[in-house]
Amino acid sequence: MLGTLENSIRVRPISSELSILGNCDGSARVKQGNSSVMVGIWGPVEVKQSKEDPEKCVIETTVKGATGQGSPLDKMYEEAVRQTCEQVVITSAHPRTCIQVIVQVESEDGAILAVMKNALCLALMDAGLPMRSMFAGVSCAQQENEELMWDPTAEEEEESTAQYTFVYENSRNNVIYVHCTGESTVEQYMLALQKSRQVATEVFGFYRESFEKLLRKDVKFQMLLPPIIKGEILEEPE
Amino acid sequence: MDIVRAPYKRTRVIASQGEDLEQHIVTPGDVITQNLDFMKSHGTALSHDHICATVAGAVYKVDKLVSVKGVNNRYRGEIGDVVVGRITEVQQKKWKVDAGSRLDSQLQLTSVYLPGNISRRKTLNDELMMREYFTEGDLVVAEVADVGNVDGMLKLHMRSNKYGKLPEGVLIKVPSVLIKRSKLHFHRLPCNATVILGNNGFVWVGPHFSPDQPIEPFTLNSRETIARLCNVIKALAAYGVQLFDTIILTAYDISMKYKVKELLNAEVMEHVAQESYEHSLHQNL
Repeated sequence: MLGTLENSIRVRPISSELSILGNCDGSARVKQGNSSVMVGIWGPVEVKQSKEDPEKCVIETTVKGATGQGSPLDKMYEEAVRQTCEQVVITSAHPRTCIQVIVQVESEDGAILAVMKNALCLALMDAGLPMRSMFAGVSCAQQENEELMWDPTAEEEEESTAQYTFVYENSRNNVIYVHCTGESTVEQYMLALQKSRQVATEVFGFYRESFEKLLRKDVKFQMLLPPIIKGEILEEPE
Repeated sequence: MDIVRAPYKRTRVIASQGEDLEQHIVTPGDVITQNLDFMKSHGTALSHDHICATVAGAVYKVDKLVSVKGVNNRYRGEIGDVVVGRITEVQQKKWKVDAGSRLDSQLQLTSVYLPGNISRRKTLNDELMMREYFTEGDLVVAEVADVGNVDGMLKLHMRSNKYGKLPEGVLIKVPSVLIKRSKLHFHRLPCNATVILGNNGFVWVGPHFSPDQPIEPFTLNSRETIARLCNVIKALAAYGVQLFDTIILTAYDISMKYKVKELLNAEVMEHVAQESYEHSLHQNL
């Protein structure tokens, strides 16, 4: 996995599990190295009248850290998760409903925001919610010698001078979310933005693989009428 | 019976139709076609002059209509469906019912037969009595009268004697695609139990009952029958076998050689599902 990157880019192995929670509409766990995040999604479901929006569905997010009580940082993550959801999910498709997103950090070892976003995307797809595109989070840390390091561990993040997290979407390959801390120049930032895109492309490939695996073993899915075959191109309607 | 056992791999019981074919699987944002003569259906959207997928799944095409079907989908109702649901809220002149669809379904006071005179105007008194009829947590069976065209909210009605509140029994939730559509969804089985197969995937199993008679207290026998039926239905659903009355009965008969609790064992579940599926195939031929 993640084999076609250029030599200077190294990322930790990524793995996923889908539909792991029984009561959710969609759930996923993503592990990148020692960082692991689980996301559960309920929705679209009934919403309290005070929060109801007649034109679109409301997205509620909760982020739980690996240990301890909620911190201001968790609130920041909640906002980040909600923003990405609202950008990607076609909220107008389900007016007067609510989508609840619960993010549980299981173990934290760097690049946590990117892992969250990746788990979020898989869980949203698993829930079957209508989305404009997929998205992938990529973290990178800039070291003191100005070299970039992708998918850093907590230790590497600690030693770095700047950290970036980018989220790319796959329909036009645009950036939809950026989070930066530390000091850097515009040139360094642009370089990180450019090169991280390669990692995102790999992650999209990974999403696809995990989904094909899920669909092939799903009994409900296999029961549906035979779909059109791969390679049959939709050019002219009959 | 062993409590702890080695992990057991589920094999597919039903013959899949498209097994050998490589399906055209798409993920959100993938371009399905650039030809805009096609019509968009579920799971697709127009973006930048292409028809794109919005869910992960396989592409289906019926004439000009293109759609993408994914794995998890909440129940979307159709008029005339029989649904089993749980009352979540009592509001003015209506009840809210959780029937497994996107929004809670609505049951108007005016669309319910009240005891006594079969159809009469509902008075203020009736409105005050609403909690006496159905209260929060009650299981009810009703029919879909209307599907909201904007938000897909189901409006239910109970304008028949067969609909109403369900007595003591067991509710099983299965994926709604597994319920076979048929004229009858209420089955009085000869094994002294009633099964209601709600189109929304909510299956109710309980003793025989009729609306005007008081329910007899449970006996150990009827408890066991109901527990066995529940386990059989769970076994069939776990292996993706479509549910209807004869297959449930067949599976029930096949399961007789096991104890009720043995039916929770994955090997036994598979055996029951496999045999009843093959049995039903032979009957159709």
